[in-house]
Amino acid sequence: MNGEIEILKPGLMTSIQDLGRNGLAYFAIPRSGVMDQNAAKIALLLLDMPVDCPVIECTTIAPTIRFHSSAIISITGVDLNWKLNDRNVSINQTIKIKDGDVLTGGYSKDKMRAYIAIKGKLQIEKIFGSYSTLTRALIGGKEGRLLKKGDLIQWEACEFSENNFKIYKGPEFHLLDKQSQDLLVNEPFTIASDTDRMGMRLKGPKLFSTSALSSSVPVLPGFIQLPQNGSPIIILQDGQTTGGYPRIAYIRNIDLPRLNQLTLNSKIKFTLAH
Amino acid sequence: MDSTDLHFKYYHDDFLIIESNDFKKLRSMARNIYEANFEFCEEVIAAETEVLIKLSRRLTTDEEALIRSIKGKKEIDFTTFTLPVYFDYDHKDWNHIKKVSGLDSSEFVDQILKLELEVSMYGFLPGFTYISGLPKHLQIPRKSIPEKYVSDGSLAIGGKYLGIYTISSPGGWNVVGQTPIQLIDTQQIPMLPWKPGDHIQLKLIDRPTFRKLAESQLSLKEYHS
Repeated sequence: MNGEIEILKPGLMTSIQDLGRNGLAYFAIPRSGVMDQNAAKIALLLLDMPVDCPVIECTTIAPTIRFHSSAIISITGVDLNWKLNDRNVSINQTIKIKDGDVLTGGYSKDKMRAYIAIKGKLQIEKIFGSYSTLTRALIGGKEGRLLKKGDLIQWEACEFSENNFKIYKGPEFHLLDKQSQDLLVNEPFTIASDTDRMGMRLKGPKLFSTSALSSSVPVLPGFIQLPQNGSPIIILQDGQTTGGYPRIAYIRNIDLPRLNQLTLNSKIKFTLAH
Repeated sequence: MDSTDLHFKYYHDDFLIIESNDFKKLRSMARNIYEANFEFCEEVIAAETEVLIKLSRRLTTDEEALIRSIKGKKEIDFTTFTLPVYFDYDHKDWNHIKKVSGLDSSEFVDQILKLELEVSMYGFLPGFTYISGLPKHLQIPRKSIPEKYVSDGSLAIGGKYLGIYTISSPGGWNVVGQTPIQLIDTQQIPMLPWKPGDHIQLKLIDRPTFRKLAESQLSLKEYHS
């Protein structure tokens, strides 16, 4: 569902953050991001969302937020004595919000950080690979600043579909013939019953690689191998470290927990990312 | 190694593959990268044509230069191990091996026994060994569908390699024989008695000898002494 919130009172140092900017310290760009990654990740995981999504970070004093639409949210970190329309709400659970509801809270003396996650894709821009607000440089989040009274933040319904996985081209993607490249992303695959902790075997359209490998090559969990029989295998947690089949694609680590939860015979689909 | 021989391929911030056609130098470079224990390298896996480095984040240009500056050196020291193997001609994989090679099983084994074999690399699963030195006419392609179970101690051929499965696992290689020696020690790292670069000489044993050795569960060191 699409939606919008309005900040009625900003609380203290309330800002939009995600896991931060990687690898840019070289250019004197700080990492930024949530101050308590564990609490922020829990908020997102409660909503079955990827842990690299943006959240609202609150510090010591809770903001007051009006919802202009229904929503599903979670709140984690220190308990700021949250109330939804004057009724107490607990942290660390999913909370159903109705259009017009107002979320308020108090303050905390013993711990500092609380996180609010909203199910959906927040309509803010990524800067240098992150949504995190860095107020000193005026980048990220909402106009590079802390949230203030009157701010509106929209989100878009986003099917974080449990069975859709982004894949990236593997070292031997080019060995797939053109038709197989299309089949890989256009057709669903079924998780075969002989899947185990080493590998997830997939049933579906047969894929063909134009040549075989002459030697064994390194593989990691998430790599999709293609044996000559045409049925891909995704290397999992107990997977081998080298293998002799083309590595046509890979799934990023961040998506593996979701993949590993799927039951046998589930259908999955791949989307090729660039 | 002249760094111009190396090809760096980044797969986003997820992993880096360094390719080279000088296997021995690549192998020693991989060892040096592994031992340097860089905070940005989560895993280092060395294979014949490439080293894969799992990255914890994007590398800076300085860090890439640091990796490029790591040289591989020639390996000189090696140890030669004698490994007893029982060749069971009744194993079902022999049909395929005979068909591909055009040799009958005893001829095939005679030729393997004469080879000077070298431990090429670790890989696959704990205790697995890739062994190089098979001439072209003894190379048998991997099975198109991997078997769900290959028993521990199996000596098998996968393409240009001989391999030893020291623990039972799924596998796609063609089994030629069985060693009765307890090669793996799962309480230490590395788990195998040999290291890449060491030599292996295979020694033919008959079925009664195999049984006797298997019962006594000797390590390679105990067998040699």
